[in-house]
Amino acid sequence: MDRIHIRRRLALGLGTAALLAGTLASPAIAANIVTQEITGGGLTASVADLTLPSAAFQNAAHDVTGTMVLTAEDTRGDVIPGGWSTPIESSDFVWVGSATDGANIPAANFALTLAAAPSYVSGQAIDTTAATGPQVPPTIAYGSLASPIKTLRATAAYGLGKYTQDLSVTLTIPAQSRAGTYTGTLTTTISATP
Amino acid sequence: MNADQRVRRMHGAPLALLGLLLVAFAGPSAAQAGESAVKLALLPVAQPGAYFDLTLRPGDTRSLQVDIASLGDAEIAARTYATDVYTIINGGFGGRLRDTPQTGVTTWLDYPTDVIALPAGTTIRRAFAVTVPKHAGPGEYITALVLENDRPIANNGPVALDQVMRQAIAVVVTVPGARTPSLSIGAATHKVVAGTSVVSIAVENTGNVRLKPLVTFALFDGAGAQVSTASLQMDTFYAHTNTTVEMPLARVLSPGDYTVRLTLVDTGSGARADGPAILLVVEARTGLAPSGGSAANPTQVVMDPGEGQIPLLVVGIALGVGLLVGGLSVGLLALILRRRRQVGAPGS
Repeated sequence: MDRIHIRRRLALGLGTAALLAGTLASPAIAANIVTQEITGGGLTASVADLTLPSAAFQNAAHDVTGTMVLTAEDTRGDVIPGGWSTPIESSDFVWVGSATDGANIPAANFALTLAAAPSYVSGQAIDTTAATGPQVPPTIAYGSLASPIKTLRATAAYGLGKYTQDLSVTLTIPAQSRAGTYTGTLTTTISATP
Repeated sequence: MNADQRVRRMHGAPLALLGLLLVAFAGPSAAQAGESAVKLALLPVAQPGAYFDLTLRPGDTRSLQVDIASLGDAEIAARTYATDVYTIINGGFGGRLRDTPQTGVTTWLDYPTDVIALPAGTTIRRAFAVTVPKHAGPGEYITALVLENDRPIANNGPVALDQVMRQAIAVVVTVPGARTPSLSIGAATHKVVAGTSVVSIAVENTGNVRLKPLVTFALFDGAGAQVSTASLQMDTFYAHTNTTVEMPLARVLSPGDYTVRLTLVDTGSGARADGPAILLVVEARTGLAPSGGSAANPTQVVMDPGEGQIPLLVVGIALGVGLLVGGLSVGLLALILRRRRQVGAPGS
């Protein structure tokens, strides 16, 4: 087999592929009408960067801080945007370690200290002048995430898009917390409610 | 076997091996990316708005449907359930977490908890019913449907959070009859959050309609001097629920007795409540050491010493594997080129 033979085969293959592509594309061109269905999606919210820095053993209570990033998206294209909100809350941090007297860190020790203004990613623009949002609710009550805190909301007819928000958090580690890992569960809700 | 077949075999085997290697190393990252993308949808069927808003008489039953969809790129186990609704601090929607007992309006729904395996891109339609008890009085009632990932998404680290991502839609039932908006005010408490005082006052929507009252707050010290004043527009305060309003102050209050004056006014309904002199006792702070205090003397890390080596170990393994794959790839390519030269040479 020589190189010319291989090149011929390659040319034949490319030609066949082009012919197939043309055949598949032709009905749309011939009909001159293209129908594209756009289906509605839903509401999604999630938080990234859920690992806090490790901390040294200390004889006094102390804080570790971090920044989590909330992403909220409304793709409900088949209904008039009804607005939404994103309450988040935490469980206790469950301790796993080799000591015999370790203890969980209560959810009350995990606090939201600041919810930044949202950043626009795509879709409907953020309306700051009419306070329709998405925005940090003026009612936001910073503090323990043992109870839900609503960090972002969009009023009716707003928020049809994708947005991110930085959330500053602090975990107060009780005095003499034992070495090991501490794992909690963050529940992020996005709700369509009155 | 002719020369053409030999060439194809010689070229095909190393290329297939290379492909297998690439697939083997690309596989885990693709799977992880899919796992983290929880995209579920819970949508009411045949409703004009984004949630169920029904008017039913005592004894009525209404059949309804909800669409449950997976918009992600991988199959997911999704949990759906009905849950009680409450008012969060300063107003707004709160829905109880999974496995919390169902009470009140939630028991009006025939919506069993279920875990559904949803393949990527699929939608299922689920029927359910709402039955209003015969003894139900007039007014607004609210409960909610929830959809969430059944298994929390895990995160690794010495201090980490797994995550449940859920969405909730309300089921609001209005029973026709007299609307009786009503509010009441309870006790005040004090706490310190992020270095400042926060005053919490218990409030209750004792009426049968949801409200959005304006809160006016004033704080006086033991001598009667005004310490702070503020106002707050509450978010939705659901009927038959209680919560707290929280007022952050600019500084930490000194221990002692204070008086809170609070009013709630819902202009839409005319409901009003006054708390002209609510006692607030601020205790001396205990427990937390001052930040940066000398008592904080690190003696050992929170995580086990062995766990601290894991990131370095992972980096080392990844580097070694990368070098191995790179070396193999270069070797295979050299082999292919060498074979091609041999086959293409005159007299081969």
